[in-house]
Amino acid sequence: MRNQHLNHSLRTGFSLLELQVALILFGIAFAGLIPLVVMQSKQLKKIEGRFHHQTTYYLVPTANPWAGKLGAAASVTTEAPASGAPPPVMVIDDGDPGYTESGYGWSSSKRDEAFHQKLRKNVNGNGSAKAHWQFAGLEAGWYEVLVTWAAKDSQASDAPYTIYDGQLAKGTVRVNQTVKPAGKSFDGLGWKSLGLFAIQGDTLLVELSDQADGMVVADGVRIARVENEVRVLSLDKSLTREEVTAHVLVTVRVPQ
Amino acid sequence: MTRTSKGTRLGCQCHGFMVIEVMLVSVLMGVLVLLLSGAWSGLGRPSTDAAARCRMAQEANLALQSLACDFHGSLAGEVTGRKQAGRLVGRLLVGGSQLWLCFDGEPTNGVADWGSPDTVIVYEVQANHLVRSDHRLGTVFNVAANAEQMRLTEQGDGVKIELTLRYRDIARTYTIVAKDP
Repeated sequence: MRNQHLNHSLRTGFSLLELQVALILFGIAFAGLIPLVVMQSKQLKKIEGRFHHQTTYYLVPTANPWAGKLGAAASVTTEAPASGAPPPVMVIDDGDPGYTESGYGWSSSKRDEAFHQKLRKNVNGNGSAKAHWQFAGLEAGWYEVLVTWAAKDSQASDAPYTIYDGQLAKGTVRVNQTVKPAGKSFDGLGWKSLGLFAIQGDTLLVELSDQADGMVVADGVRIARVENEVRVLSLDKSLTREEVTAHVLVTVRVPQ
Repeated sequence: MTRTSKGTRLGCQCHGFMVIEVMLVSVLMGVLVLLLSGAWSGLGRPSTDAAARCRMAQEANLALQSLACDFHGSLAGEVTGRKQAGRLVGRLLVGGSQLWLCFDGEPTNGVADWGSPDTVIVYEVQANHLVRSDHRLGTVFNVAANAEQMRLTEQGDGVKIELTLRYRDIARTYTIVAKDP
């Protein structure tokens, strides 16, 4: 009893050993933080590497509209994308870039019923005088070619328009320029369709020759891309497969 | 027996502390505080900062992915129909802080009607969240949390989006340039 009282009364603080044990325990607890910090640092580096606040990111859509339609996202890049090529010109009037003439005898005329109230004309000849409308930068595919003119009785009833795919003639269509062009209407004028033409290259050329039975008139030429209509009815996606199955309905609009 | 007036501990050693004990404990407590503060600044603070930065980077990633889907040129989720249906046909920056996107609806006409049948999607910061509102369906989704502000700048062929996120005392501004389809 006395010894117990003596031992109890002698405990005035903590020993060096106890202090060391406490520090070791503290060190162990402290060291436990290290894996957490390392893990978080690696995770942070990974996530910030994907999208860092000091970097400018560009969202660039692809040129394929079907990719967006079927759920693809814009690509993310850190480099500014080059400016895309301007969309191809689809309408050329006489005097516009893309319009050229060869041979002699071409003259200007102003008429209210002409495209942009002006046109070029030439008397009929042996085919040496020609007007050209050149559409460049096109995608390969089917195009409808439409022409317009200001009608007049003295003009040719068989003005020959020839369509070229690059250097390759795709066909000649003769039109009656004594009557107003009938067909589709654009800009308040009637436009006659010369038909659908398959273009393999990137240039479509329309040529008007003076080899006709009257005066030929060079005015506006318009082209329109023709595509089959594809309608997605449903889309099957699976988390286990990379393929995506689309059920589509195709309405054929171009010659097959 | 109690402590004598001279501070001796005759007869009783268990009541109160000696000055030297108090000093020793104070020194040890000081050392402990130094160790703890060092540990906190060395590991604890970077750890919490890293957690905050991780959180913001994740939220910013979510915002980026959502914008990437809409800026691809077609309405996300509307995968059926013709390719013209759901195509992005109009974009407006309202007040430099609201991004309005117009997607063509059936029957398509290729122009932004900003109403039926088109679908109008609006991105804006509301109550510290970047939200994506679908005006046609009337749905509102939180795209990213901790959003402080979104600043929009017209760039001719696209829009510059500066999204500022703040979590606790850390702020980050993420810059996205979305090109028009």
